[in-house]
Amino acid sequence: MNREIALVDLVDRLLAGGVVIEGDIVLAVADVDLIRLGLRAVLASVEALECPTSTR
Amino acid sequence: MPYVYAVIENGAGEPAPPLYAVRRGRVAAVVADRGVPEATPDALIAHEEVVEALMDPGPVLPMRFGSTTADVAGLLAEREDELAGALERVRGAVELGVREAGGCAPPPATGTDYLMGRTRLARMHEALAPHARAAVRARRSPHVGAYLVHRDAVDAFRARVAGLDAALVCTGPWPPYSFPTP
Repeated sequence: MNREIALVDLVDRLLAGGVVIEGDIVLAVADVDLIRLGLRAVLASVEALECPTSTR
Repeated sequence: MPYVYAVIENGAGEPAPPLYAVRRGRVAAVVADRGVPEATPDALIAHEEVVEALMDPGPVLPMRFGSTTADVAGLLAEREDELAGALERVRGAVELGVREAGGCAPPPATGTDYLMGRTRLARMHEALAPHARAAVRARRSPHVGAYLVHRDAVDAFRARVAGLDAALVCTGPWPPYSFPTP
């Protein structure tokens, strides 16, 4: 890619934006859990990236 | 299981392997035969690289990360009108994001501070929205909104953001994730 991309800008777009396939997504329960775990990992990463020396 | 990256106009050339196109009427899906990756930062970036590479020369509708379906052709057949309309809406345009810089700002100390912050961001969105083809207000700080802007108008829009508030960052150009349907 020809520019730097910040995760804080990427996450909402890819995980909450875009065209959505409804009704015909076939995900095994294990896959759904995997995505949920993945989302938590991503969100945790976003927070870490946003505030590397957090004062919160 | 086919993993769908984006919808494009039918008639564009074949994408490079391992991507392939499933075509139906006016639209086509750009697909790879793969499983859904875990949503790690690397996986998100890899998905974004695929979608961004499709952005020239025609319009692109990015799919949400993790989109899979056993019947891509059926999906296109069912939603051809909606997808063709959405492609027209984004033709020649890109998405620009606006947010406050410095994501490490301390959280608001009081409820009043919180509400004042949200009002300020909403006013910034109202100032920018009329200068875009389409606009979506962000739901949470530090984001202000997403703006669909013609490629030739990007520089002018960036200048407008800078003139509005020096603490704003204008990100992009993005594929139009925030404008998936007409």
